[in-house]
Amino acid sequence: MDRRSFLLSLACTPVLLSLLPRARAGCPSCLPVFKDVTARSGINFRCNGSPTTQKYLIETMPGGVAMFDYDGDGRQDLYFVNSARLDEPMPPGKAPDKSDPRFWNRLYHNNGDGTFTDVTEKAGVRGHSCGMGVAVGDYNNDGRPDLYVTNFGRNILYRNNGDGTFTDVTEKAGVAGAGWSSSACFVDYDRDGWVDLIVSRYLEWDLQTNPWCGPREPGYRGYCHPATFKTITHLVYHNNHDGTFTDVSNECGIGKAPGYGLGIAFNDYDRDGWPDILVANDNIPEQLFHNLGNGKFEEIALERGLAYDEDAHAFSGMGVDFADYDNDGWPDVFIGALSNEKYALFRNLQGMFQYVTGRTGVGEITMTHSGWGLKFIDYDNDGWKDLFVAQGHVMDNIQLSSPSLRYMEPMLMMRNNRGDLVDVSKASGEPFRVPRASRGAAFGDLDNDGFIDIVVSCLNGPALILHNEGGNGNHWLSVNTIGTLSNRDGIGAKIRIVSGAGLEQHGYVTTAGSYQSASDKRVHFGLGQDTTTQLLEVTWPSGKVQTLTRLAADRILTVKEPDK
Amino acid sequence: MGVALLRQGRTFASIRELRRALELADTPGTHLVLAETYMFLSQRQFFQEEIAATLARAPEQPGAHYLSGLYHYLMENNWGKAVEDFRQELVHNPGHFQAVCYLGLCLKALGETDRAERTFLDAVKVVERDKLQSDLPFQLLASLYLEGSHAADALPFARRAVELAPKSPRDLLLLGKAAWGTGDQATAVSALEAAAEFDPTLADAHYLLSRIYVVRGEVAKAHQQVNLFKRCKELYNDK
Repeated sequence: MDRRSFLLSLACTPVLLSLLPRARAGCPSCLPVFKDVTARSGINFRCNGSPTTQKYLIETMPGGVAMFDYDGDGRQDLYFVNSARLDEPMPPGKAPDKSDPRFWNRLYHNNGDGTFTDVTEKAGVRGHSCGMGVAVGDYNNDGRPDLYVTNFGRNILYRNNGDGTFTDVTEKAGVAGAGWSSSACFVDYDRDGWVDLIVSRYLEWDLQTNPWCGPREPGYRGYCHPATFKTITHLVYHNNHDGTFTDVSNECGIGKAPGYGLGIAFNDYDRDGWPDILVANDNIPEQLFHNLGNGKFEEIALERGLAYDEDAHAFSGMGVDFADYDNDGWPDVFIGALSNEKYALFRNLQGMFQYVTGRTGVGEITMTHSGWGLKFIDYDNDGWKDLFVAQGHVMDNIQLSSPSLRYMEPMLMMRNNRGDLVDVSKASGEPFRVPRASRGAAFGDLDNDGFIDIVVSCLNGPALILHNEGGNGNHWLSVNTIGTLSNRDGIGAKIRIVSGAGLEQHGYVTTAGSYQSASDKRVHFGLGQDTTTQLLEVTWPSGKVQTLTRLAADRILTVKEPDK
Repeated sequence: MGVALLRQGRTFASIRELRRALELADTPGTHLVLAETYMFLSQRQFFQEEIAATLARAPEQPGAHYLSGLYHYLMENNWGKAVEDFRQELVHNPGHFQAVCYLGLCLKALGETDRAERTFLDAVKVVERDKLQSDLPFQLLASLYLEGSHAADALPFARRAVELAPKSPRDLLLLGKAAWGTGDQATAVSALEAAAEFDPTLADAHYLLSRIYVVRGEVAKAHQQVNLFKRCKELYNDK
């Protein structure tokens, strides 16, 4: 046994595990654990991928989950996207069938007592087609978050009616798209006060052109590599302010750069005030679309150092997040990838990106894993954003060709130790020890206790509700923005806070990121032992800057944009 | 004659001469060279027949299992079978350091990184003990450590590889990566510039140089290297 294996085996022993710090009140350096509260929540969602021996690629890619407050009661509700039934094989001309309730998308209302109620039928959001992902945004500025569901097939825009129901307004809005859509985001890219819609599409594929990939031996057929198929363009819909959108994909430039898009996120990488769009592509260079501020974008990932890993290799980009993990005010990038590629962590050096996967510890931790839903979250409220990843290989028979890899993998939590990432999964609770085929993940505070919870959608398995038990005594502040001149949700607002002890942090209002998923739009800050913040500064998409001082911690603060 | 023709890349002429040689004297060595020729031509069945003929005549024929292992590794990606072959070769021929190296590569391909590491270290020992001028095991170890994000572990092996093959672009590239990973910018830049000089088509050297120049604030140089990288990708790589 070599040195590394020996240390690894030691790390797994109960003796050492018992020495790892656990959270308890007044122990700021202790680590919170997550508890699986799925059974208690009443949520029994299962993303049914409908696996066949035909290895249709759509079987293994869903699905997403959204955490959002659809009824405005202050509690985060959940929406899960489901796949559809596939025949073995699919007859020519037949589409995936979603009629069976086991394949419906599901909306769960948060009852506020740790339980949820399935309100799918009343809400009218069961979906159609083979579902993939979901985006959340208030496209009509009525104060009620709407849903956009991506599919293999036509996508769906559900307008939130404000009475617990939704209306499919896709046709009127003109945002159905076509082909295979994966992740999407609502972003006010032209800062006109209305969120627009951007959709990453995966590839050109259909059920009738599904070649055999992998060895021609029983059980060895695999899902095809994306390079087997053609790339496809991403979609950009500009909001016309009247309930309709205009497809400006080509005109804005993004549609001229096709890819194998799986994940999407946005932030202002160069701090010029305009949101830039990042698309995680599968096995071709990643794409960073720089917003030129005139309705047009320029793809600049290579020049900025984001296209490849440090060996100049493209990797299988899946989930993605775009946030400032090192508290320097410049948003960094994290992208999940397949096993043997390492997840990519890029540090933003004032507009240029440096691949820091190796030097931060991420490379060694993630070498053999495959990452989908992910996000920078400060799960221990110490003021430094950590990294969570929902994992699992894309191939359900990967072990046949690569005996050391596994289809189902436990989830990963990496704690941010002032810029270095440390694997704390084993100390994060029992759910982190169970292998799953995890896909989408959403993040937010389900019970408003100040510690970020996680919801994971698992392929062909039960979804997972992870309650962050907190308990380390660290303080926090959650900021809920309401735009007036800016879009109603304040999507794209930048928030800078300075804690009582002087730690500066930067947040960004977005529901996007992760994989095919949407998260709580409130911006969460861990404050460590500080019970106040010296300063909170909001830079609204309208350009207005709002400053609040001496704020007490441990609360959800609603900040409304001054309308003059 | 058959061997000489094979080394010149004249495979069909080589086969004719080797067949004629077999008519004169049916030796295991001739069958082995024929097998090698068929491997180059991806002729699986003929290759296997010749390997079988070799081993039937001389079960301990040096190189037979090695060649079979190469075939399984390079032509069929059948790493498990290749492992068996290389192990068999080493039973009869323990000093065959290339067999050790390929055994390590197969283990790496199977995801058995720790065993691959130990195997490459064994190859290093063989090369050092026998005073062979081969950079291969050092190069493989440095690569393995870099892939696992262990730049500090990679550095001494990358240095030794460059000592043994100072004009190898691949070794210089590895030294550049290892040095960069350990924060030694000066060594990284000089190694990467040398790698790119010896092989201007080495896209990853240009790319890493561009990233280092960015960190150093040398924007013009970074831009130049990005352009060279793009050009290499366009000309030599489809990704």
